Amino acid sequence: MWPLAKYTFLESIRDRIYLGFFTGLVVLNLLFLAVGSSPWGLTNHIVERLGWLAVDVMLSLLTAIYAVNNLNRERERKILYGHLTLPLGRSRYLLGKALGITMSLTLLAFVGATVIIVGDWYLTAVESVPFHMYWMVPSVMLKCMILLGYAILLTQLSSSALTATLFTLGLYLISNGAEELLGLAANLSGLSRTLVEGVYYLIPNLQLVDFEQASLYAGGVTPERLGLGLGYAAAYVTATLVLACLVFGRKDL
Amino acid sequence: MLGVWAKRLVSLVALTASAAGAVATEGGLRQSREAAQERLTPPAPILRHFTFGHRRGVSALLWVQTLAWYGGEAIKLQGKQFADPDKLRHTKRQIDLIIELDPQFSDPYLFAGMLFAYDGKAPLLGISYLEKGVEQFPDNYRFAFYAGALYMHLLRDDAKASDLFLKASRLPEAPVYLAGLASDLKRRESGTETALQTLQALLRENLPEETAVLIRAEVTTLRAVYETEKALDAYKRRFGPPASLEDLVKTGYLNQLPVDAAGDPLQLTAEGKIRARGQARDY
Repeated sequence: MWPLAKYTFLESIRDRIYLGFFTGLVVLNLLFLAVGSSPWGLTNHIVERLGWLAVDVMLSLLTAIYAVNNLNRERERKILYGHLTLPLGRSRYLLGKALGITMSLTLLAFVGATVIIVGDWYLTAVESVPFHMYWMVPSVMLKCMILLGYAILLTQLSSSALTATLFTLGLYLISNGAEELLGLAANLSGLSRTLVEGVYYLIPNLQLVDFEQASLYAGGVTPERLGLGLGYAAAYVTATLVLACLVFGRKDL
Repeated sequence: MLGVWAKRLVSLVALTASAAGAVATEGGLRQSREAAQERLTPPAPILRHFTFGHRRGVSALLWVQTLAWYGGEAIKLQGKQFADPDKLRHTKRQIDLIIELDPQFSDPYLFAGMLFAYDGKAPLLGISYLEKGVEQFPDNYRFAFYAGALYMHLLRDDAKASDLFLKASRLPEAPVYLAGLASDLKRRESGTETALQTLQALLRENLPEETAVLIRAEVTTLRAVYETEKALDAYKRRFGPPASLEDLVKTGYLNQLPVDAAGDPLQLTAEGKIRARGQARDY
């Protein structure tokens, strides 16, 4: 499983996703600089919020698109059959891919957080380096891992890469606003309320693993909050990967 | 055959709708940038459900957009006041949206407070934003300080200004002069005795040493002013207005010429009021 994870990780470097991601963030920082050089200045609140938003959205989109395409490409190019001739079960193949993509995403999250921290420190001339922004890494990673689990499951369930990507992206949008769904349900009544509440309990609540609020306002993430996020993400990832392995194990390739 | 025609019809309708939409949007944008933006941005209760968990990020984007728009308008006005009611209404809508999405974002409260009070000539509206800031950020002295400044400068309400300055002076990082300013205003509004009592009560709180030193000095001065005022009143009842404070010493109403905390003599103004050297205003 480990060689496959390593192969997937190296493959992501060959696919130049790091270069694309890094370029995107540098462009974003240049944009901050352009706004920051205006007469009214740019406070670190803005850089931190926008930076967090950018890394979160970019990595989540990357997870949905890259994970689905990576798995699908191996199937379309028949590389998958080569892997499966090795003494490696189908479940291990999927878990190896998941591990490799997680390694890539973790490195990307560190790169993203570092670029934003350096930008924040340089542009707004804050006295100390805003290391608290590194909370972005576990926060974004837990979200991405939940999404990755779903992306792998949906790849097994869907007939094409496009539908799997679209479903994963749709899930990302709805799951990020899960708390809002509950608020929306409170303003509804009857069947529509039941339906919205039903959707809330069906989808993952990505806001439970979002540490932005605690990191930027509440002076840090408490161990309880971190524990809850880790437990929630672990449960979801395990459930989706087990389901994906079951489906992939019975799939007629 | 019918399928092909149906596809063509759908394509034609879609193209026409897109073109109409583009023309309408472009026309709307040309009519008024603010009105078009308001039409395109949903109201807060709806928008908050569609930020997909990124309320703070969307709020920051709206804030940058609002500042960019305001900066552009301010440049066009070339130093004149930003007093167009439509533009102020638009700014208020944007600020409300930003605060609704991210109530813990401090900058919009300060910006709205100053903009509406000075440019919009609506000090109460400006103060309402600063008071929201006071509630939202109970440890940040700036909101109470700026609200107090608006009460003092624009509404001439020294009592409220004094209360807010006093509140701000207790908070971390508050400038040390705030307690003195609050005391000056309290004295002007309610008399020396009330100002003295207020400062003495403040001294009993756990204040930063730098602030406490300044307040102790202010209390010493106010006590001297208060004693002198009492002696002056007694003197006036018997002899009428004195020519100088030396008259009070000569007649035994004061033991010696009164001095402030720095050792500088108190002064009797032409209006018959007592003034300490450090005080900029007469009372």
